[in-house]
Amino acid sequence: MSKKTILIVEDDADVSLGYHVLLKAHGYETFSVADASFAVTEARKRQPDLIILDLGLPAGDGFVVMERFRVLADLATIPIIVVSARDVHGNKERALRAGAKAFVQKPWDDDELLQLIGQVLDQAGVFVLSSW
Amino acid sequence: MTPVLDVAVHPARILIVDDDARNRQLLEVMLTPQGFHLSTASSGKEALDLVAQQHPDLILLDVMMPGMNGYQVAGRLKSNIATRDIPVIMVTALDDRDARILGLNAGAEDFLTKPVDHSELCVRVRNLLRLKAYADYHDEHSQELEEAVRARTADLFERTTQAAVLAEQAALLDLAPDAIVVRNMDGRILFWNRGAETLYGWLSQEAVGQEIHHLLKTALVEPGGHIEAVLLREGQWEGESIHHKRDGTRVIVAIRLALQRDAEGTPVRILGINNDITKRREAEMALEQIRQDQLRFKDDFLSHVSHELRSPLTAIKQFTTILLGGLAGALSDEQRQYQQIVLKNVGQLQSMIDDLLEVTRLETSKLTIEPERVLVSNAVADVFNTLQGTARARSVALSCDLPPELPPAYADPTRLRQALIILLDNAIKFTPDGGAAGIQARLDLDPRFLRLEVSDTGCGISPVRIERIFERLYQESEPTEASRKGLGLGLYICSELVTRQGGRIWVTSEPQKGSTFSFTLPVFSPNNAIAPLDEPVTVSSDPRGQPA
Repeated sequence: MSKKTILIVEDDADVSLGYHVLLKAHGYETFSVADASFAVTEARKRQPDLIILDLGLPAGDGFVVMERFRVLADLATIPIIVVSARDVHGNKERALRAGAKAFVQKPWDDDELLQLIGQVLDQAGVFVLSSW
Repeated sequence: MTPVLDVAVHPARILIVDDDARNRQLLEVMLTPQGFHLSTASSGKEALDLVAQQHPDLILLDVMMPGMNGYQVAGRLKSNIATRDIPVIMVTALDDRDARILGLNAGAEDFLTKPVDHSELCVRVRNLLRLKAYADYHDEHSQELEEAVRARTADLFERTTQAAVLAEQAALLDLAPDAIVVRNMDGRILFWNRGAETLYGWLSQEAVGQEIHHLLKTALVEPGGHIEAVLLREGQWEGESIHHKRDGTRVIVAIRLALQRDAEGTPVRILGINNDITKRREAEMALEQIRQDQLRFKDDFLSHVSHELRSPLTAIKQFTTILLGGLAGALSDEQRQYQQIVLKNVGQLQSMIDDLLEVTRLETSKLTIEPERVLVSNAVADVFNTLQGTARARSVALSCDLPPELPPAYADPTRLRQALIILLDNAIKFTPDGGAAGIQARLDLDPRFLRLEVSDTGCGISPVRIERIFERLYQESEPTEASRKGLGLGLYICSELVTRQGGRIWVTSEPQKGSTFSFTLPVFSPNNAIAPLDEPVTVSSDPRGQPA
């Protein structure tokens, strides 16, 4: 079974590096972009299994990214976990409404994040199978 | 008006005075059929005595009598104020001019000559009685008339005085800076003082007679009938309304109304005292706007700051965890210990940022409470899970005592969990290593509430501190190792969370033995699920405008 691929959309290079180290250590393939405009092109090229999306991004925020993904057939079904330093209040609800699978506030707890990624990927699999 | 003069209204009393018994008898025989009440006297002296007792309506007086003669008797009668009105007919045998002059001088009204003619006697008697009746009527009624004139004069005087008093009062009311308006029950203006002229721009002569709400274009926020009802029930009403001046300017007025009733209790007039509070209201609204702006600014600022603080904190936490997880190579025990310290402090920083945001939410009413049926045991289990690690690290034993029959609470599960975590985390923090902390729950003395208690075996809280412990930013004045770690917002947040869920919170403490924080929550019942707790109060700057 091939490794699951995760796209990291995060403009803070340190945080982005942290994701790589953690996720690679737990068996995921990762690649990252630092702004909203590259998120779509990279996602189309690599077709990731999951996207970790920051909200505060240059060239359009995370909500804009989700908006674009939703109207593109090949990207619409890729699960998204929003991880943001923004206030849970208001943003969580907005993110879920925009199509995110979950909202995680920074700084997160590694164990919880890994558990959530596992769950979302499992659900995505079920979702793909049932849609056949 | 012609007075009805009927001598027979009461039988006229006639006194016959004659020294001759036959003459007296003759007159009696002639007068008795006429219905008169007759009495007789045989001498002048006897006559005067009888007159004093009986006050006859007419006297037939013989002239020639032994002792006191008729002229003398007449003279005495006419000189006495009490008897001078009694008509006297002199009866004389002397049919001559001198005798008549003497009689008239003595005051007699008429003469009869002996032998007395029956018809003449009756006619003269009747005529004199009629004249007397006229005179009596006149006397009596002139008195009435005088009385009436006196009363009218007094009334006029009083009215004049009253008018003066009213004018004086009106002048006094004109001195008042308030607008004073009197209106009848149809709203027609009866009185309008200078204050009203100044406030509204309408002169008294223009305003009087107008319908008040029409004149002032009253903005009715509350149905007018409500005020009427209060006025009729309580006699007065106080409130605010929006009126318009003559030039169309809108004014906010504070109004006091009082109802006047007449002697029968029927409402007749309404007195209104109106004050222009436009400036005050506008200042209040401006202040409120500033307060709102400041709150919003603070909210925005704190959101921004916490966002900016979270980002570097995220990176610190990430790499500390990476190092601790051995993802960058194995750590020595010492390195591991130091990284643990970094991680612990990251956690503290994180919860401070959370508290700051939470307080802002409390103050801007962004915090929502969504109460539902909650099992306390679930919430407690959840909280124990979260804080197990913290307690273990300090070797603090956690215990809980929940009776199985405990009814569910009506609370917001997230907020209940949050409150319990703050309290239990504090309990662990203030308990020395190896101590004990725990949660107990039971039905409150008031069975509509559950009581939850979080206790510790810490150093206790002094009474002075207990009083202020739930205040925002309250900190131990002598910082201990434990209290250093926090902004002093936890208990404030906790008390707000409890209060907003319909409960109350308090603390009991014994120095060196420990403290117990207790709070209540409503017991769930189908009723409170239908009628949820009061919504958080939203600050409104709308003037509660009410009609005059």
